[in-house]
Amino acid sequence: MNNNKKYSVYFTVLTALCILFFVLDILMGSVSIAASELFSPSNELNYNILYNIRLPKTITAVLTGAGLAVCGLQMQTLFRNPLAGPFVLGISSGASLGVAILTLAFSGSIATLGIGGKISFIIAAAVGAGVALLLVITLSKNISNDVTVLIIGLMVSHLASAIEGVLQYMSSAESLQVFVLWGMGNFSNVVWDDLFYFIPIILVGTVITFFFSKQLNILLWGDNYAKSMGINIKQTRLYIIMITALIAGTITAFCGPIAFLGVAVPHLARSLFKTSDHKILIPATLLIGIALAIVCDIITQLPGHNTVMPINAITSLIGAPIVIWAVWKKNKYS
Amino acid sequence: MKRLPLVIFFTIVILFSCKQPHKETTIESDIIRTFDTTTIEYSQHFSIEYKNDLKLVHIYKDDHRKDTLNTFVLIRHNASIPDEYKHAEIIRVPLKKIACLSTIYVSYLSQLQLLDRLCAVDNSQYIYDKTIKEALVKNKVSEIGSNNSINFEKLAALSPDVVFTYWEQGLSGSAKLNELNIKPVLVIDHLETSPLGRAEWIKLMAALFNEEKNANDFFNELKANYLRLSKLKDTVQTKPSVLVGTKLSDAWYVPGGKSYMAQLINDAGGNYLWNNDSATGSLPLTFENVLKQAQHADVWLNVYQWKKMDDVVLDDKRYSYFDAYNNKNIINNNARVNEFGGNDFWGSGLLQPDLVLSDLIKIFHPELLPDYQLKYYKKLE
Amino acid sequence: MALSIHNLSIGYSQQKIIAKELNLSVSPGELVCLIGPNGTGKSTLLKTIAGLLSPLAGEIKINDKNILLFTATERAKQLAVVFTQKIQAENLDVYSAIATGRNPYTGLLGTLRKDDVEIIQRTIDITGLKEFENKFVDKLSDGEQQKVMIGRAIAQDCPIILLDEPTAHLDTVNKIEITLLLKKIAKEQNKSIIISTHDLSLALQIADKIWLMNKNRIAENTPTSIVNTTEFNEAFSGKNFSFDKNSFAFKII
Repeated sequence: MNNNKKYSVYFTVLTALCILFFVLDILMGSVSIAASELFSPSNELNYNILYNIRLPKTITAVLTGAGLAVCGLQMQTLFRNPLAGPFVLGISSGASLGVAILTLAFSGSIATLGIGGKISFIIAAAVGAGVALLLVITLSKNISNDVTVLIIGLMVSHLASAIEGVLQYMSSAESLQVFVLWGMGNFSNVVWDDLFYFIPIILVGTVITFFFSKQLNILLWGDNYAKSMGINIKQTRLYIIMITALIAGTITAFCGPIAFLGVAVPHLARSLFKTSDHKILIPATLLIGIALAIVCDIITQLPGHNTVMPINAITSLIGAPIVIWAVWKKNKYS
Repeated sequence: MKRLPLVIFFTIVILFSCKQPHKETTIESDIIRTFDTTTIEYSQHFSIEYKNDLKLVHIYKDDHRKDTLNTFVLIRHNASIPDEYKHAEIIRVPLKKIACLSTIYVSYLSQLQLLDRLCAVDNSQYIYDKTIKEALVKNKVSEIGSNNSINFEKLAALSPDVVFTYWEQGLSGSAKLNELNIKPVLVIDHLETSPLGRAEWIKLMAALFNEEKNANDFFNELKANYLRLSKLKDTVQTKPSVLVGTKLSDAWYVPGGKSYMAQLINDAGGNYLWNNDSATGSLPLTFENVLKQAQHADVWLNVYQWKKMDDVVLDDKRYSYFDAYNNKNIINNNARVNEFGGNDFWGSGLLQPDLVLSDLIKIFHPELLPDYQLKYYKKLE
Repeated sequence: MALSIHNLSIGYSQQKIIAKELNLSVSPGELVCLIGPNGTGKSTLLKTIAGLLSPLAGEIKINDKNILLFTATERAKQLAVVFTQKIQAENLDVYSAIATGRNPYTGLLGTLRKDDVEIIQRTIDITGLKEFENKFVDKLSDGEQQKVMIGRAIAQDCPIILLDEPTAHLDTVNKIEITLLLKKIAKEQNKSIIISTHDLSLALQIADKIWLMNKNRIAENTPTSIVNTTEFNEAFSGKNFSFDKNSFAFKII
């Protein structure tokens, strides 16, 4: 089929773009460093900036973009709702709440918990994300209306934020500060030690997701059809929730809540690749997610500007119009 | 979220603004001797004008005294209001009862020996000073929450004449306060760039209680001290380079070159690394940018919640690229922090910039103040 | 018997039994039409047979094996279903939609083998969808979409196919075309096909067997015999109309 040819061209171009953006993100920053420094940094400062500040940040952008986009795709398929995404359906808030409970319970910073802290942080975020998602799924069972499901998601999200707010109210200023800062979301606080956990989790998560592409393809047909075609709906759903919770939870644990990447990217992938096959869509969202996240990161620290912009402002600025366009397009035809 | 303003707001916003203070204000001939008077020398954001039997207070949003935030007419309790001020905001002085929604305003009262007039604070947790805390207990001062979560019922029941609160864009509470017939005085001392200008806001508090004389005595001594101490820098040969703050989320908020903190550092004989910058607020810089500029900085100040050297690298390993870390020259302004995180640097420290300046001089040039003990600052262990 | 039903009770809970003591059977190659007034439980019966609802009592057997003993995949190889609801998948092309029917037979990633592709191609030919092969399902007409849904069920290659009102939203020509297609498949591929429908005259003309569902019970009979039963008259006649057995049409009196 000539579709395969088309896909391989797209995948090649996207991969090339990802590599290009990756290199650009490392070369560009508020401190100007010559490209030649990349392979033989002339001093310790440049080495540290390139390899210990920019490289982990760019890798974090890659992991976040890939992970959130794949989560978004899974959720849009699972809910059969174009507006579903980790940020919208309460996963991010759930993860935040999980982290809030942990942070405030230990009334200290992430730092004071040490390496064991990182793992407990990830677990807390993943559990929080999973519980929120389970709640949304349970509540939206038997509801076919897109908007209703979305409202439930938003309410669960608000509920989690509200509980978080109450917890914060009761906490000391010091642990609160750590938490408030974390809640702003950013790529730049991840160091090599974190990537040691971050990379494998996202890698395994996305690979597992790929192996669920057959189930996801059938979930598009709705629960009844999926069951009649031999899919164990409850089990499949649970697995998908676990994967998304792990991926989105981990990302939230390391970067804080990152808006819109998850919900926007699958739309780009679908309209570019013109397919509903998850074997194509998963790698497509992965690559587009990576490219978009890196672009957002580049924009936060434009060269020539000394100041840095908040990552969530940029992802929202780019992501929200994409979602509006997707919804508009969908409702225009139906 | 009600403490967000306290924690972030003060740490960041405090670094706002700076302009060399130009001396000015009241015209001597206009002053009628029914009030003690005071002259505003350093503050850019308020003025007090003395007229026949009344005081005119202006609070300005900008530092050119053009954009007025508020104007109050202060009149004695029994005096009649002159026709031209019939529609003005009238405050009868001396105040009988006042509510203070930030710790620093309580410090003004404490300094002026007026704590007995205080009926409510936002949250006494953040008050560091034990004697003030005891006075609050003794005087049964209520806690009513700050800007976004004021307990209006309680406030209405207490019915203070005036509420001292800091100004924020779109503050929702002030309309409600007006409705309850309680005058909000929106204080913007955090926009002052001069340490003396910021401390000078005590004069506004004093004017409301006709305690100008008291405030003048306090301020003149403070001023003399500060000016004397800031002259010491002229005697030093080398000035240590200074880095301030830590990364918060994705940005490192560095005080601008014309900010409150920058002025303190310069007055203490430090070489603030962003001196050439013209910002009065703070700059959200990237980590790499700060690293490039300040990796060889001699001294590193104001590092939020760090207490020990270990905290630095536990927070982020990459702080170890700074010389100040390796030379163990990180000094935090957290010597006086209570168990709730209330930091006296942002309490009495704002009212005693001469002591903060002494601290900084001691840090930069210990030989200049051999017997002085640090008050607000403490080296990381 | 491809499918046999013994003393079956259906419904959503023991308190709300919709029909009980049902005894029915379908042979290979047989086309069964399930008729009856609205709300008598036709969909509930089909869902129960499809395994989406649990029987409240009795049993359903495929080739003498209780359907509850099948795994999800095993059952999907025995029984395909076409539901009334439309699918909303974006960018789903006709070929992929029909290929989805191969799910019970494919491996972990759903890769199609040679025989899968052959079955898909054959199904596309049978259903007359060749020219639409690469079109997106949501861009097709209702009739074409319904053919795709039926095609997917055919590709699932099961001895039994259940269809819940497959012609409900179609015009007369499409309705007849699709019904004839189903009849043809039943005969040529020796499949048991059960269709629920409101089109009485079409059902009576085409079915090998009628299941008449009314008042908690189902009467099973051939089309020619069922029209003479009291159950039929009860279900399909009113004060001023009745069903004419000779013309297979309603008559207004």
